[in-house]
Amino acid sequence: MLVVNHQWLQTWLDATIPSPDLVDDFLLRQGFETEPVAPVFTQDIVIGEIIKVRKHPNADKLNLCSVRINDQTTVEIVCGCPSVKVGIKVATALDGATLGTFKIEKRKIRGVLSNGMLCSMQELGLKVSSSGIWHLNVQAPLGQSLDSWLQRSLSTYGIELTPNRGDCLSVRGMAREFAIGLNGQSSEPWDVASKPEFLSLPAQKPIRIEEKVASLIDEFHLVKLDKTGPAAAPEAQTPDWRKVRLVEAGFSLHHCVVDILNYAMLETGQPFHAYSGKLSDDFGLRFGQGQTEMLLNGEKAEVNPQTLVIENESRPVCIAGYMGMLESASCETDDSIYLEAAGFQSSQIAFHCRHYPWHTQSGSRFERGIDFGYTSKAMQRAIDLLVTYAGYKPQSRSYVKGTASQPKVIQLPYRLVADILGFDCPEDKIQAALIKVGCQLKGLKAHCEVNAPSWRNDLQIPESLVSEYLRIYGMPKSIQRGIKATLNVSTSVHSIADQAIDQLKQFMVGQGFYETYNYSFGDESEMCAFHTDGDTLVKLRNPISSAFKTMRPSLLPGLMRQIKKNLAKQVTDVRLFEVGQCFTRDPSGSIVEQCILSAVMTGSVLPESWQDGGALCFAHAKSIMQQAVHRLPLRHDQKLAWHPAVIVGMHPHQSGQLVSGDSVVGQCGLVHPEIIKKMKIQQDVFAFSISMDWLIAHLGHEIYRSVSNQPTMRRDLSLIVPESVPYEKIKEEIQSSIFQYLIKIVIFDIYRGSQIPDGCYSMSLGLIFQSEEKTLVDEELVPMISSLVANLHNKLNIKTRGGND
Amino acid sequence: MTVVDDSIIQQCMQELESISDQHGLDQVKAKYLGGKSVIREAFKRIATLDPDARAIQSASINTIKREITEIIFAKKASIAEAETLAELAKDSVDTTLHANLCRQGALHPLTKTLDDLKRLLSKMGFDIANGPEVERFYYNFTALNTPRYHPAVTSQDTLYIDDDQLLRSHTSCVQIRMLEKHNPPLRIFSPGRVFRADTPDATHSPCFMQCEGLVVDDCSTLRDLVETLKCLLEGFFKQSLELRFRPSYFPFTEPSLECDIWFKNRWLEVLGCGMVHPNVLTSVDIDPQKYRGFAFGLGIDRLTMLRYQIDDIRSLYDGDQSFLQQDDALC
Repeated sequence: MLVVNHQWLQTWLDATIPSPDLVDDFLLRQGFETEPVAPVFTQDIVIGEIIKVRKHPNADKLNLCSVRINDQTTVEIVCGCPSVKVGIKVATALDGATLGTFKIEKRKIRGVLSNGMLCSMQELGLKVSSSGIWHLNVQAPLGQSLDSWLQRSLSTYGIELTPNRGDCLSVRGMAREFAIGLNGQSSEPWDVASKPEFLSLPAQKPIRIEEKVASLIDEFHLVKLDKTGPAAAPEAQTPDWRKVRLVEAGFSLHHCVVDILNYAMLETGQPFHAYSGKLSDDFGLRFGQGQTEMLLNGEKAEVNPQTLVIENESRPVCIAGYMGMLESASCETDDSIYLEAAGFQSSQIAFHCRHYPWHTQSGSRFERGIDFGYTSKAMQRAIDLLVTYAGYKPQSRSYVKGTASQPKVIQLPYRLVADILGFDCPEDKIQAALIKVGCQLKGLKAHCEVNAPSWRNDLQIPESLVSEYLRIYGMPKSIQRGIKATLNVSTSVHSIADQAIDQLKQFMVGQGFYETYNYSFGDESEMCAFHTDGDTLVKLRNPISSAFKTMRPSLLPGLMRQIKKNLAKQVTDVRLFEVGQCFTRDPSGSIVEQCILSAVMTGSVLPESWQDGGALCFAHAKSIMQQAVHRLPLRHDQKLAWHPAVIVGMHPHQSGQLVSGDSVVGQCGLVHPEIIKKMKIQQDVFAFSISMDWLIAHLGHEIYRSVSNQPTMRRDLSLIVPESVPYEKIKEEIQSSIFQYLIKIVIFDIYRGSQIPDGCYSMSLGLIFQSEEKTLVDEELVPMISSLVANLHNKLNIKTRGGND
Repeated sequence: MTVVDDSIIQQCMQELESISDQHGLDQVKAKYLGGKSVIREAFKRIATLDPDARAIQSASINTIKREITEIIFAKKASIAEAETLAELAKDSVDTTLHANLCRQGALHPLTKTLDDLKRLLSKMGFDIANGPEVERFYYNFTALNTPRYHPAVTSQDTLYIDDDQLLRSHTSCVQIRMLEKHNPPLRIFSPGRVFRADTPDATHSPCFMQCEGLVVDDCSTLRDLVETLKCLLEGFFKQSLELRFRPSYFPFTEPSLECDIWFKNRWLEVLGCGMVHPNVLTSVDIDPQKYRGFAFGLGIDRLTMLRYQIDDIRSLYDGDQSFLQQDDALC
């Protein structure tokens, strides 16, 4: 974001900047969004001078200052800042002034009347580290409004820049965009010579350049400046207006030289670096050799063989375009400095910006690409400012030219503009638009050769010129229908998969489940609850926090967390499901992404009402899962089998899975009581998961069988079953003994109680028979049922209770 | 002289008034029409009369008999009806009682939004395409004209697993995967989850949903893009909309635009779009001289929040059943 005050921009423009909402409007059309910026409250403040300081009679830490506002007016103001002294100029808020919502009034402080307030920069809304009152420059004119002294007006623009528009990270660049929006011209508010003066300085020792790095550098200028004698403003100060401009733009204040260089960068877009004049004149450009140096920010950094450095003698003194080293940088006490202004290739500096973790103003400009055509002009501006405001004088210079360049000639066939945009774009309008943004055109018949301006590194291909056309003229108000209809029916695997998922979601909704979403990552220990193998977890290298570090291997941890949340809100009847990706590593370490449907349920079978809702049991979860799986038509060669199984996170005796060969299609169970206890949940939770990937990979076609019109017959059996015999065995026995006509088995009663022998339970089954072509008679069924009864008894020790029919 | 007075009809009606069941009715019926009834007696008596008088009397008695029969039948029907009603009344239930004996869940609002977009895009001939959520750096950045050290690739925004693998920061990577496998013309959309390194707050979520649309053919123009989006957005919001396009920047499109809609008296940013950058086509060996395309990316979460007036994005991810249920019926 570039933050710049209206007044400052106006000095660059020949057209008058209109009201802020009109500015927002044209900036938006040109591709810049504006953001509100923190207000600065300087409009009601006047400049005063402290002429007398006394101790407050009733408070040790307060002073009573007499502040002269003009020849006639002097006011008494109580101030708590210890730095008050006679003779300083201060920002004075008098009775009636406002600082944002804070209104200044005459009031008694500890019994003494105070007629206003002496302000610090912070109190005026300026983000600086010091909280003491602002000592204005001694030349600040008494009684004048602070706004006019600071050369600013009420409007300050905060302008968001897209990454391609590095050229607008300067007042110069933004002024150009204002000029486009206002149909005016922008130019520097200072004289610019076509050949900057400093180029005529005597030469110092040439700069060494390693051959490998020549392609990363355009121009590299170094100028030595000396402070001219002790009279040259030893305590040279940054002017108040410049301080405000820097602080508003987000810079912190340093000593005068750094402030000037930051300011010149903000004006021109050209980053600078100042080295201590104590260094020798032996400078060179090369890749790093693994040295570790302390940077200006006090952090250590290694310069490796990919890092482009500026070295002095053989020691790296700066990471090119990014940050200098602490020891070799200029400081307040230096009598001379070396000033660098250079053009570095953006991709090299982008590497520095990604490789080293700190954000720098210089880096963020270079990586977006600076104006190679302006380096020497910007250098002259910085020198002029150092001469005027810091008492320096340029002495000598050195220079090297690399081979980095910004290719700038683009061939634009005129018809391409209309081809891409789809509406008429006359040649003269295209030319006018491109000239307006600074291009130079060499027109041929059907196309033109476009020289993009040196500051627009983003203009490289003809399509970008089409964008510029659109930026200047906007989209036509009405566009005729243009799209041609085509027939396109989707049969792709993606679309089949998507439909399958949609179908299962609808099924789950019909079963009373609410769809939910969870984040894809979480805390490691939480993610392990349903997945023991920590080695197969996928972890993020730069998580937002450790609570978001581990990719979910299962949807259940998230769903359990949500169950808990609902229970905490006294919602005790919860059914949730989620469809999403889960992540694990396979034995080779590759990441496997699986699409899973998981559901959790707790509470009763029916919603609570005046009818018995019934407690949920394992079979409810199992039946929903099985029905869900069979909701989709599976390939007929896929036979699914149910197996009891011990599943991580599930009750070992109440869990099982649906398998097909070696593949697990679904898992179901009662969530392990240990997990429930650990989560402080007070009720049973059942859960199941289905592999959507497996289902989708095995989808078949749905077929409707014809049904028999013959009557059905039913025979009921009451069995006394030893607890150790699973139903699956009984079912196998039924299917092998009754080899004909059986169309359905129903279990209509399970009973454990007094009349049943210990270790057994009673199960009542109904066998339903039907033939395709005839009415069945008893004689056809009796032999099969008898053999079933005998087999159950002999093989599984199951007795039959009562009669057979 | 008459054998039977027709006052007997009045008499029968009076008697029936107090009858309320079948048994009483049978008694009345026997009394007036049975073997010993006045009417039967009258028939016997007229046998003794001369033929002329017999014909007259007989007609008169028959009329009386028919009327009494009708009255009794009508009474019989009304008793049967009353009995049926009494029987039904025994099975009466309080139909005002709160009925919630079946379960019904609900799709998530994000799914509902996405379903609408899927339906609209499918109608417009777009085919769905999916890709992995753990993506290669190449597909997420390089192939989309975003080199590794591009300013748009700030490591703070993207969640990495290692140097090469990351959680995709947009669904645009699916463009590349599809263009690698299929030759133009192509008209696809790819919905799905994307990730950014944002700490959750009311307007930010580290996981959210995007839907990307892509058309590549030999004749697409920006005008087609505008037309497509107008169609899609108007279909989604079910009203005609004013669209505003303004220049923006995405590495993978040129020109790039932001699209705003005029909605509830303000401009709302709804999507980013543009013409596919020639470098993107080149990266998948499609000749940008021959083919062109456009792409757009919608934020499903944002559209969902707009449509359902949800003001905190976190409520889309915390599984609060009461929120998902939206059931305020007390019935």
